[in-house]
Amino acid sequence: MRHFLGNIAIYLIIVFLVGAATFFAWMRSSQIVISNEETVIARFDTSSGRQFNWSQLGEHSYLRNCANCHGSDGQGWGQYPALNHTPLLFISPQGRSYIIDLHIYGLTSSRWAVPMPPMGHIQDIEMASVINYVLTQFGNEETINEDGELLRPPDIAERRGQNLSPKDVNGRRPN
Amino acid sequence: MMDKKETSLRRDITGFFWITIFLAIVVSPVCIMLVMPTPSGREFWLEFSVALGFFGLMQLVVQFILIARFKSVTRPYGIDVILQFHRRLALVAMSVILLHPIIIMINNPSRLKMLNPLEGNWASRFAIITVVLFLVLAATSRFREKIKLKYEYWRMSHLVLSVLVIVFSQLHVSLAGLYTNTFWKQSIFVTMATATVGLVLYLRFIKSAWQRSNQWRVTEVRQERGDSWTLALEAENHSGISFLPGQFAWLKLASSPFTLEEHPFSFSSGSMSTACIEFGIKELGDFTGEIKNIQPGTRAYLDGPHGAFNIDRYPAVGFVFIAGGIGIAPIMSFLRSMSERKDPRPVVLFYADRTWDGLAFREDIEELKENLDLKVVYVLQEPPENWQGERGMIDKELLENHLPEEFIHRNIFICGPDPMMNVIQELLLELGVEKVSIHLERFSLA
Repeated sequence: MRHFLGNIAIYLIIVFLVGAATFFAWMRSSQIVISNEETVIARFDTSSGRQFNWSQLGEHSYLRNCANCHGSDGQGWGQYPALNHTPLLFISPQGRSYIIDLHIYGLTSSRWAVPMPPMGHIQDIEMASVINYVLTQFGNEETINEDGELLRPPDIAERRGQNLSPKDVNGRRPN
Repeated sequence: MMDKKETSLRRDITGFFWITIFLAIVVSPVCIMLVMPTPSGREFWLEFSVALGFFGLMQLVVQFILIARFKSVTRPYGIDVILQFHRRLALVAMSVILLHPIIIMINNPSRLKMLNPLEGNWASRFAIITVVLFLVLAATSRFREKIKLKYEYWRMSHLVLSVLVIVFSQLHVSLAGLYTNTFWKQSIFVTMATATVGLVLYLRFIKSAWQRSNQWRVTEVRQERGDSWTLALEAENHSGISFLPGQFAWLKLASSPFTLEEHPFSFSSGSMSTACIEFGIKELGDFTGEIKNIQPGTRAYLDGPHGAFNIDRYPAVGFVFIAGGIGIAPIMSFLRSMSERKDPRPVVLFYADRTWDGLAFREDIEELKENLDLKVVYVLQEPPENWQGERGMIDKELLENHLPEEFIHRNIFICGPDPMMNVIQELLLELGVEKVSIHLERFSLA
């Protein structure tokens, strides 16, 4: 026992801990343990076979990508902002492109400790849908005039390929 | 006291039991995190780093239990191995704790701004404080001798810093909040941190206060050869301490048991007498240099017995003892105990030192020969003229000349300076002795 603890145990412990952390991370990242049914369905149900409906796609995408931090009702919590100020930013000058940029390139600022991760891997059509979804939910519909102001996939495509950093994006924030 | 009937099998079972408990404690928070309600999972590396962070925190909690000298925990391994484990585990804990933020930063470099205390939030600020304090803690421990930090100051700083590290890391966990999203989860973590701080208070105050009812009194400080001293203590109104030959105790020489000045010393007396005990101490440092000035009647407190370096732990047909310098102290306890017990088993003692006049307990050993099957080989680096015995250092040839024929069946106990023990252990392994039959006592405990 003396020999075991003195020589071998520490290496076995390291192996065990790395293994346990890997197992935990795999379990979490592939949503093996989840509490929110909607979020799970959003992860695994590809919503194919349905007729295209941007608000459905937006809701699906929101639950899958955003709800974890911003809350299922956009209420935010802790270090993550609520989304009730999104429409105000959206309608201010340069606000449209700012909102799109922060989704594609991420955002880091002194206002919030935790950065918004870049979500540029999301397709134009889905990104347009999910931003529109946010703009038309959670009471935001009061601020937005739905006619003609919402995003369309080409609006997203236009903003891609700019090589912006999350800090650059913050510099473009409307006052 | 260790049960004499305790077998090595039982020790192994207890040993594996504690390791299982240890692993369970370390992974417990990630299990708690998975109990619903849980937030939906994030990407792999983020969750990986969170798991490492929690593992690090739990290893820190375990550290407090390791150094608490709980005999039921230390018994299967020996406290020296536990303290060595404490130092190694600290390195593992430090690695995972540092990996936790590093992975998070690499995962999304814009999180780097959280390193600036002005930009982050309170969770990140407490994390920074924790890491800084932990690095100071690690550096002062690793380089204590190099930066000449006095032992008591180091001990005090170690105590304060470790408590602060636990408190601030708990604040970080509570405020980061993703996995402490319910009241009861939050409560479990807060309780754990509180219990850890409580353990420190228990050890520092309650256990020390309890020592007050087990006072000892210095009866004699006797000079031995080679700048060594025998410190004799007598129990005051209690039955004393039941130790096994070769064990040691932490000694405080002060009027109050709350002092941080506490040093481990091997018993040099036989184990039959529990109320009158002796330590063999050589003048080597600040504390040991003052032993000669201790007045009889001085109050003392003991924490013990500890240590796996004892002949009763390992059944054997006979023994080989190898002492270098004051390493003779626990071996005196072996020899005296065997003599008291009329133990008939054969012993060969190698006793190495610089000079003939510096051989502490030389006369006592010669006397013990009368009651024991004892052969002594003195090895002197600076022998007097006409010296007929061995000279120089203990080497392979010397061992081969003097080891008994059946030496590989004996248990071999070595106590001396680290380089000497390492060399002799290598030589014995080369000669075919099994590693489990070689027992070393390292002084560098703290």
